[in-house]
Amino acid sequence: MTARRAFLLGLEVLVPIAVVALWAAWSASSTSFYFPPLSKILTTFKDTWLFDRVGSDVVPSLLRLLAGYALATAIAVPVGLALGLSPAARRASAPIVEFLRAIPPPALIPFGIVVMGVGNTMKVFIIVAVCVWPVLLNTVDGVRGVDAQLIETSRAYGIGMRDRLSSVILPAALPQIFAGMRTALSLAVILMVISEMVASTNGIGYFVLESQRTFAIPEMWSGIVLLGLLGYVLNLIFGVVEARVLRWHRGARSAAR
Amino acid sequence: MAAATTAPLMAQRTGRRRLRVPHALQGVLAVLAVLALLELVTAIGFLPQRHFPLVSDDFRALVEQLGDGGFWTQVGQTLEGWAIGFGLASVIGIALGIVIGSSEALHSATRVIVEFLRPIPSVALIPLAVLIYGTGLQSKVFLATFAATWPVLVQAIYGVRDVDPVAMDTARAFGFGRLARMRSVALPSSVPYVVTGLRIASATALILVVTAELVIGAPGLGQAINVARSGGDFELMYALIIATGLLGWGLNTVFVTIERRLLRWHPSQRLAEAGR
Amino acid sequence: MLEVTGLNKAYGHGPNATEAVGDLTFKVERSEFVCIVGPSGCGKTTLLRCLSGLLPATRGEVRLHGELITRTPENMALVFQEYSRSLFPWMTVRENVAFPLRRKKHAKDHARALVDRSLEAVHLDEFASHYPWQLSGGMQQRVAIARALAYEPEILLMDEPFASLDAQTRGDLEDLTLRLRNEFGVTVVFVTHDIDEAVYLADRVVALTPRPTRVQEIVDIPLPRPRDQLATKELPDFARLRAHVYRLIKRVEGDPAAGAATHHELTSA
Repeated sequence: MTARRAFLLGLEVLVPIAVVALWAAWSASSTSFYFPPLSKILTTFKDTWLFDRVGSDVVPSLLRLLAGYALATAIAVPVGLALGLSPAARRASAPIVEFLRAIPPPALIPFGIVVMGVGNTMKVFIIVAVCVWPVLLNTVDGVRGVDAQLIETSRAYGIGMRDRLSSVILPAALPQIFAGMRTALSLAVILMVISEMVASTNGIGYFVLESQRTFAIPEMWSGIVLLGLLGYVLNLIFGVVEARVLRWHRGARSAAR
Repeated sequence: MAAATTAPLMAQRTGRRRLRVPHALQGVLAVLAVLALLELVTAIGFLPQRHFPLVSDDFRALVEQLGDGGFWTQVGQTLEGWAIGFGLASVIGIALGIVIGSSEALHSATRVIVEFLRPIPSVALIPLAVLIYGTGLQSKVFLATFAATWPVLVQAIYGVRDVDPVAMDTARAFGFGRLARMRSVALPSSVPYVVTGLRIASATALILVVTAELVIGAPGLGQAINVARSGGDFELMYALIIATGLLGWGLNTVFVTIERRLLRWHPSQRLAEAGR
Repeated sequence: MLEVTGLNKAYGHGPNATEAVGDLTFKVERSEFVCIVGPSGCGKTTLLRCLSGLLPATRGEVRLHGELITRTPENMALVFQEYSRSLFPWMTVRENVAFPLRRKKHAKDHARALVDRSLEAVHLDEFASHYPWQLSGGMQQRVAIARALAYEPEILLMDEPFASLDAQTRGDLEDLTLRLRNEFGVTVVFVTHDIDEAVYLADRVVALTPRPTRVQEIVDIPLPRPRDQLATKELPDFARLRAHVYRLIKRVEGDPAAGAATHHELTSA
């Protein structure tokens, strides 16, 4: 059994390394214009992103991303709590919510450009307009899924509405809110990139598309790799935060098994 | 991709206290109220009319479009990209997912790769798609397929791995071979997960198709929206945005309906990892 | 102290209404231990939720010290059956016990002392910083009891609190409840479907009918205190009272075998 586990762990570590090595070997002798050798991409990556364009492109991108994401969460959680607690408000808002969230997000970009121009406001707006929905809907579901017994217990002990919200309902809904926030995070990255591709003068998305247009292929690849790393790292950070905040949840769930 | 949580919301709405008529109307009334409010604030000039035409004008433009052949061509182009991308993603995702999910070794070998590739924003590949496939249908399909495969794949792996081991042992005790076990036990019990993955994949594919049309100018609704914007025809732009929203809503409704019907026998599974 | 008069609870309206509680009248005196027993599905839990003001009654009223109960009063605490669902999984044991005290607006030191004292009383002081889900079922229910005690209620309502525990733990917690009731001088209303448990614990047993629930008989339990799991249950009086309550419950369930079964159990005991 332990031998098997070691074997599986070995696979988990070695196969990805092998894949990267294979890519390196295959592309090393590549003369294809579109697929430059991996070593070339990595060199370009180092030259471009460490740390030449960090201030000019990475930082603006990240700021938009975080501003939009934070704002979306700040709006969606309170509204979600309210909708989750009020069946009437939920029924009334359902068709509007259903429609707004069904609009493919990029379709909102032209609207954003018309109303807000091509600046940061528009990009943050787009991120907010898209990230709000998964957080909102998950918050609503989370609130509605709160065990009636927990609410009853706090009612029986005469806990006031404010404490009930902050100490009972919010924590109980938190696992689901986090699930929504995870979805929203990857959406935020996507919308950041798209909005920068459509209308921008800086940012990672702008850089990647511009590199392609000027046929700076290794630069383009380095940007793609950076975006991949960014998505991966953000997801990782999110996982760590989630595990910390929801420590009780994991424990409670595995105890229930 | 965008929250997978509407179904309970709707189930609640139709399921409870159906007797009282006003409940069903509340949503409709709210929509009308919002539209009336928008109409009002644009009519009195609270929102600048240059950027916000009267809502009634937007809808007039939408109705005009509905009678326009060009509009339907654009809808067709968008749907074509969606359908091919979604179809490819489903086939690839389900096939790979079942194979990977039913082998411990394969699962270990691919886990890091999947976990690394999945969060990559698919839109980062737009430049690559343009380079290789140009600015037409192929680029759309490539992007949509790449993005939509992950939710299906991950859900399928999850579904197959979550098969009740007792059910598998039962099948083995009755002398079912490996393939037969997979077909008659693993596949059906992973269906709820896969269906959820498909719904997310459908929304994702549509997003990527519209993005491709918007960013690289592949023909379709996204491109039409952009053209309307740069031409300053804002009524048309809003009409097309509404149309795109209705398209997304329609596709989602179809999947939610299918899902609810299929999941009836397996209600406990619906939360799964849907949020991703 | 607690007066229930003509209590009725119906769900739904008009012809579709189902009556969970038909017409209930009884009293609980100060420091009394009253057990409410009834056939399964007779609306015991509905009754308890009405008593605590969590559920408004359709007709009739519940008064505590003469005051009408419309919400759970400050001098009443509840312990639910499903400990795992009534403890907050994101709070430690200490936080769970301290949480209801917010309503009381005690000074910090005082609240702390209350929490400490009640955790000690249920022998969980060493587990104060654990999370509930790290504890066994019996320990979790002790946390819920400690939470109720820290609240310093005059009256404690318990809704089948030990129903999902194993027999040994259940016996221990029954004795713990009796001890705490003496120590803290609290009045207890204890809902259970377990006739043994009811007779063992109670000063009086209120036997209910099936839905719509009515009081069938109020049985005095004059067994000596302190009670003991072995000695008390070996008393002939215990067997007699137990059989009496058993017949009450079984007869109204309309089970023709009930009489025979009781008889059989009596002779074999």
